[in-house]
Formats: sequence, structure tokens, C-alpha cells
Amino acid sequence: MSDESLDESSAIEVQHDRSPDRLVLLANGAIRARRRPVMIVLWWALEAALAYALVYPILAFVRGAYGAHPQGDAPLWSPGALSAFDLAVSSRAALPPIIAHVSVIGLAALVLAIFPLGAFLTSVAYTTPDRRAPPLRRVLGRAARAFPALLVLLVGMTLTELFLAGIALLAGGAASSGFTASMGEARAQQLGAATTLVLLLPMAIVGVLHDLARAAVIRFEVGGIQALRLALNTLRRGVFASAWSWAWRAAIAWVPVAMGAFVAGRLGGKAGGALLAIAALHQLVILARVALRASWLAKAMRLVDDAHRVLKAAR
Amino acid sequence: MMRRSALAICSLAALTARDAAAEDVPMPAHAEEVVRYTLVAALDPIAHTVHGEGTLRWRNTSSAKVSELWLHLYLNAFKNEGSLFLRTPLNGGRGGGPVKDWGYVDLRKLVLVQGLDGKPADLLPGLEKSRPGDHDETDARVPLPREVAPGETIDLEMSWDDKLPTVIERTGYDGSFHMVAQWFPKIARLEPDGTWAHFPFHRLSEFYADFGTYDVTLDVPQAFTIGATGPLAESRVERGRRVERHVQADIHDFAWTAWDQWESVGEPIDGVDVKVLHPPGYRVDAQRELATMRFMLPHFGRRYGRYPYAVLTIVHPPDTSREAGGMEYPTLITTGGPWYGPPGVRAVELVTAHEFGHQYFYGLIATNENRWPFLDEGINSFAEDEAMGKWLGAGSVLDLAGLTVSDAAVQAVISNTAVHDERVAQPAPAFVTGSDYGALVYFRTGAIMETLRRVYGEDAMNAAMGRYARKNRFQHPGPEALLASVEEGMGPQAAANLRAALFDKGWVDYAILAVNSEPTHDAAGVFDRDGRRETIAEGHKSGAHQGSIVVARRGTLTFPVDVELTREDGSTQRIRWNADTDLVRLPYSGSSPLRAAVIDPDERVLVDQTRTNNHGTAPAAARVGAPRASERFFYWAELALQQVVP
Repeated sequence: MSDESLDESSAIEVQHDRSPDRLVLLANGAIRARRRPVMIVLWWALEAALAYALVYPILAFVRGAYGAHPQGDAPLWSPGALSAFDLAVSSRAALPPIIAHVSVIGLAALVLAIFPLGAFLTSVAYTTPDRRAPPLRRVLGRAARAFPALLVLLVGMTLTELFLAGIALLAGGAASSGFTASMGEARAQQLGAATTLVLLLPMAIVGVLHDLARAAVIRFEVGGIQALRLALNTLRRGVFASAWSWAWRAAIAWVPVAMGAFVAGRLGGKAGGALLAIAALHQLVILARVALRASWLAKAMRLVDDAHRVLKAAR
Repeated sequence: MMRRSALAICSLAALTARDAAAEDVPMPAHAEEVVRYTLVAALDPIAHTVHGEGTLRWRNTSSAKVSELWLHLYLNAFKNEGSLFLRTPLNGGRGGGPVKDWGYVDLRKLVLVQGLDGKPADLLPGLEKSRPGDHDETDARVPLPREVAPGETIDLEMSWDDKLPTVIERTGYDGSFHMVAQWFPKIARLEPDGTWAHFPFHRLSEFYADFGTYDVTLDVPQAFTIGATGPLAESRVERGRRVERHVQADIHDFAWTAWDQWESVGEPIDGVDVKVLHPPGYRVDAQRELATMRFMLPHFGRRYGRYPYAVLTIVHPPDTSREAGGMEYPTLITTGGPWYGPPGVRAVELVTAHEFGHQYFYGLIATNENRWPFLDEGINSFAEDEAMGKWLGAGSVLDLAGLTVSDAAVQAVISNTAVHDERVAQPAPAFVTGSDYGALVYFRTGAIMETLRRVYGEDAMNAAMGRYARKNRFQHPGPEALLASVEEGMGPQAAANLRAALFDKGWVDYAILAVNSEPTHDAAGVFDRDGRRETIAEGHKSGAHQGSIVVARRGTLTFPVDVELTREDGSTQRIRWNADTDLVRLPYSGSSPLRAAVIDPDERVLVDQTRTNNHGTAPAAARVGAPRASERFFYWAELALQQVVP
């Protein structure tokens, strides 16, 4: 976790901390996700662990049903899906506990993932006085301190996003039904879908605001409300630039998924080496998406940092 | 190109040879004309009413004198909540929604032209619309002033007024969209022994009537487009009204639609003028329906005899009126589906194929859908599955992102959930729940027929069903005709299985109970040989292995199955088991230890109750596990998590 490429001027010491492994704020231009590859890999590993916890009961069930078949789970993937459909329907009694498990793990993941997020933001924004990547202990400590503020933001912004999504869906439905008589059903439904999509844009902006506020929590060590104010200030300076920085990364994050699906389709990947190759490819896809997310968060950190400096200079 | 052409010719030759047996079965060109309706109907699209009048010529084709008629007034099913249709509690199935605007039919005139002494007789005063204590008015009895002798023809003059309900299961209006079905006083079918096959309109039941000619003139506002049973015989516009006359022989019902927003596409397919009426913006669905018919018309023609009519109208109702979709009338079917359905989701194709299949089993063979619903819906579900499989292969229900789901799999698995509940072969009103009706009548029949096809062979099935469909065209057969054709084409065991599955809740579950093998060696122990006692501590090993597989057949159906053995060296061997006992120990002997066994590896017995016990592994053999499911589910979970976690 070396930061040898950083020059002296790229780091600003935090005055109140004099411990030998104290953290030093990086200069704006030096806040880059690519300087923290280990954190990105750790983030991917944590997501993998959570995903495994999520699907473990399902995998155990499938192994129990078909693990002793001479071809393993191959019948479940055979054309027509007779065995897969048979297994799904005959085991429907297992569905409620599986749904409960997935819900609990999903909710836990949603909350707990704040912690590695805070750790990554700390890691990407700070360095040590000797220009090394911050030690994990310090990073985790700062992430722990930021947890309450990040949790407040998560709850508040998630509720806001859900509210906006509800408004978008209601408005789309109203547009669709309101214009059915005059435009015909299909055109009215298309209008409704377009209305929903347009009204979902504010939800995306709230998502961007959320990430900017998260960066502000780490950058300025402030509470959720104060971070939100700082994030709004940042957004006011360039809402389209901020949104675009998020949007292009979010969009191209689907490219590796599509490429992975294409290659997996070609390889087949039923067993043996082909399956191993696909597994590796899929994990590369996930890693690439984590990296893109990290890149956006680093950008968010730069944006709030930059906005703060400009506003401070203006005052 | 040459090679492909040659292959195509060879395939065609093979196909022709295979179907030849069925095609040799004589098939009547026309039905016996029992009824002749000459009707005129005028639609008021604002009040949602239809005024109808006309004549019914009816012939007593039974061997008994008739002193009463039975008229079906099915629109009264939506008149009040006392009707059998609306008062019957059912879980699942169509038609369960509320009626927002009541519908009914008021008979204004009913005159027997040839009454007593040859004078016209008003039958309306004697009309019994309902039975005492029952508010259902869908099954009306009409006492006659004199008996009608066998072979005698009578004429009835009728007029009536329909008030259409909001769209509910097959009929009604939604704004200016009108689907007009079960709209005229319709005489019940008189069986050859002189009994009337009449019944009140039940939510799970469809229809049954005698064949004849329908000459119907429809009168709607000029801006409306009409789709109707039979070819257009005359068309004119006068005083702001569009008037169309449709005439069709050899049918037993007449339905029509009128809407001021219909768009249409069409083309001749296999000698039939196929027209699709669809809402604006649904052209993609209409093209999918035409593509379906390009395969289905010739395919069904080869399987079950040529479609005998000149026209087929496909009505794709608007999504807000989807209860009007998925229904069949002679030469007119209704489909459904949203305009945005992805091509890999075959809902539009499936419903089109299914409703077209009814042209044969409901339309041409014309079984009693109230008494034996499986003879139409069930056999047609099999025909749909067979045709969709031939056309689209394993992805006949879904073919999306590398995942394929077949119609046969869906029918088999869903039907297995209800197999112990009720009999398949029972009248529609006897079913306790709509979901059982769907799972058993449609899917259980489809799955058992598909199992017969897979077990006893495609050629045998094609011959049996081809013979059944051709021999019984226009004949109103019962279940015995189907069973006889199956026995003739596939043998007594197939027919016995079919009978048990349909009439006795027949079921089967194959299972591998044990798999093992041991190295063979000479016997060890104490032996007295030639006056000497010899103790052999360990027998000499030959290098061969012997063992057994314990296989069970639970249930009442008996299908021969393959058992596939997998050895440790990776080689496989198949054993045919007739399954004529409940449990058997199949011996194994080979050079390699036995690793595992799978029963029915080709998935022929679709009605196998569960497939998770169809395999077994020797105790010491290594388990393969579920590597592909583990990898894919894990990856999908990671992707899903990325959408929700920060």
C-alpha cells in the first residue's frame, strides 16, 4: 500500500493529530481510487463474502438434491428446464425461510457495508506522514467514528429515493391511464414509462448527493446533516458535471456484465476448466464494477474537497 | 444450398411417410347440418347493447320425439349474483373479477312457425328461464305445443336484446371495445338418444352445441371495424352504419367484435386468409401471431387433418380487456399479451397456438366441454405443447439469456402438484377449485399425453391422434373414442395408463433406492473338499465387480423406463426396466466399480412425481456436487448485492 508517487505537496497534515501513524489529508488531485488497489480488492472480498452468505442455503439445498447425481447439477441446466422446474416447485415449502434469510442478510449487508465504504473513503482521501497508505487499523477506526453519520444518511436518503420512486411510478401510471382513451393503450403506456423514467432522474441525483455527503462525512468529519449541506453546496457548483461523473461510470459498469454474459454463453461453462474460467471471468466482472464504484467515490471526494476549498477561498 | 435442399427433401419425405398412416383415415368433408341460424344484430356502442332478431331452423336428428327445447341464454350469467357463474366459489381460474356493469339477454319474441295445426305458436309465455329457487337464467326450457318427430325440421322466429357486461371472461365491453360472445339464444345439443345436453353457464365450463350454418348480418357504427366468425359475404355502409354479413357452414357458435380502434394485418397462410385485429401499437404482437400461424396451420393440418375453413380471425384485445383474450370460437380466436413482451418470452406464441388448436378439438371434433373438459382443453394443451416443441424446441415457453423452459416441463411440473386432489375426467362444474381445474384438465392431460408420446414413440402418437382427430371430425366423441385411438396406435398398456391417469388419479414416482458394487472374488471361509478341511481367508480377486441397483416404481401408472448406470471409469450402460413390479433389484456386473445410476435419464416420463429421487450414487463414490449452480448463483447474488449495498 505504498504511495511513493505522491509528492510532498500532495499531502496536508491534519493539525490536531500528532501520533506517528496519524493520517494526513491528500491533496485534491492525489485522491485517486487506483492508488488504493488493496482496498478495492478487500471491498470485492467483502462483497463476495456477503454474497456467499446470501446464497449459501440455496446452494446447500441444490447440493443436497443433485450433488449425488453422476453429472452433478447438470440436469438442472438441461434444455427445457424440467428438472430445474421440478426442483423449484417441489421445494416451494423452502421458499419462505429462504426469502426470510435473503431479506435478513440483504438488510444486514445494506447496513454493514457502510463500514467498508467509510474505510475506503478514508483510505482514498488520506495518507500517512511518510506517504504510505493509511494503516488498516486507522482506516477502520475512522470508518467506525463515521458510522453513525453514514447510517443517518443511508436511512434518510434511502427513504427519499423510495419516495421519489413511488412518485415516479404513480405519475407514470396516471399518465398511462389518463391518456389511454385519447392516445390508445400502447402509446399511453409508452408515455407512462417515459414519464416514470424522467421522474426517476431526481432519484439518481439524490443518489449522487448521497455519495457526495458520504465523502463529506469522511473528509470533514462532520455529522450527516452537515455533510448533506456540504454535498448540496458541491452539487450547486456543478450538478451536471457531478451527475455525469457518476452516470458514465454507472453506465459502463454494465459493459463487463454484458461481456461476461457473452463470453460465458460462448464457453458454456458446464464443468471443468470452462467452468473455472467462467468463475474467474465473473469475479473479474465484479472486481471491475467495484473498481468503477471506487473511482466514482474518489471523484465524489475530490468534488466535495474542491467545493470546500473554493468556498473557503471565496469567504 | 444443394445440401440443404436435399436435406429438406429428405425431411419432408420422412414427415410425409410418418403422417401417411393418419392421413389415410377418412374424414368427413362437412358436418351434418342440425341448425341454421339466420340472424341480424345491431350494436349500440354507447349503451353497450345489441338488438338481435332472426330465425333458427332446427332438425331433430335424434331417435326420439321431442316435446321441449332448451335454449342457452348465457349472457344472463352476468345478470345478478344469483347466477351459477357468479355465485360459485372457486379459487383460481378466470372470470373471478367483479362485474362492474351487469349483462343480460332479454328474449322478446320466440315463435314456433310450425305450431299446432300448422299455425305459428308463441313460445314465450311458456318459457322457463330458471328453476324454482334458483336465480340462474342461463339455461331456459321451452315447452313445445306439439312433439317434434325424429327427422322433422322446425323453424323458430326470435328477437332479443342484449345488454353487454363490462368485459368478464370472454365477453363484454371496455369503452368502445366490444367482444360479443354468448350473445344470442342458442339451442342446446340434442344427443342421438333424445336427451338434451343442456347446462347452466358455469365459470369453469365452456360450451357444446350442434353443427350447422350461421348466416349473421352485423350492423355497427361506420367508424367501427368488425371481426367475426366466418368469411365476409357482403359489406356495405349506409346511413352512417357499417353492415357486414358473415356466413359459415359446419360450425357450432358465432362470435364477433367491434371497435373503433382496431388495426389489422393479414396474409394467406396454407390456403387460409388469416387476419389479425390488434390495438394501435401492437403490430409487433400481430406479427408474432402471424409467424405462429405460419407454422401452426400446416403443422396442425398434417397432424389432425386440414383446417377446413377459408378464414381465421385472430383478435388481440387491448391489455385492459385481457379477460376477453385467450378464447376460441369457430374461425375466430382471441389472444393477448402486452406490446412490450420480449421475443424470448413466448406468451403470445403460446396463447395463439393454444387457441388455434381449439379449432380442432373444440371446433371440429366438438366434444362436450361441460361434461368432459379434458377432451378439449387437455388434448389441446398436448397439441399446443407438441407443436410449440416442434417449432421452438426446448425454449417453447422461455428462451432468454441462455435459459430455456419448455411447455412440456411447465405442464408436467404444475400438474404434479394437483394429481392427488381430483380426477381429471370429470365435468367442469365438479371441480372444487379453479386451480385444480387448470392443473388437471389442461396440464395433467397434456403431461400424460406427452409422456405417452415420449415413451411409446412419436410415430405411434401421431398415428393415434391423427386417427382420433380425423375419424371424429364433426362427431362429438366421448373419452372412449380417444382411448380406443390410443390403444389402436400405441397398445393396451398406453391406453390403460391413459385411462388410469384420467379417471383414477393415476400417478407414478420412480426412485433409485440403492446403488452398490463390490470386487468379485472366490468365496472365503471353511470348505470341506476331497475329505480335507480347507480355510480360505481371502478369496482370489478376479478384477471384476458385481453389485446391484434397487429401483422402485411407486404409484399406479406403469411406464417402461431406462436405467443408466455410470461406472467409475466414466463409461455408461443402459438397462431397460418394464416397471411391471413395484420394486426390483437390478444386477450389475462389470470391469469397473459402479458409481451411480439414473432412472429415466432422457426425461420421457413427464408425469414422474418428483425427479430428485431419480438418481443414486454408490456409498463410496465421490459426489460431483453442484458446481455450476454454485458458481452462477454466487455471481448473481454478487450482482444483486451491488444494486443495493452502498
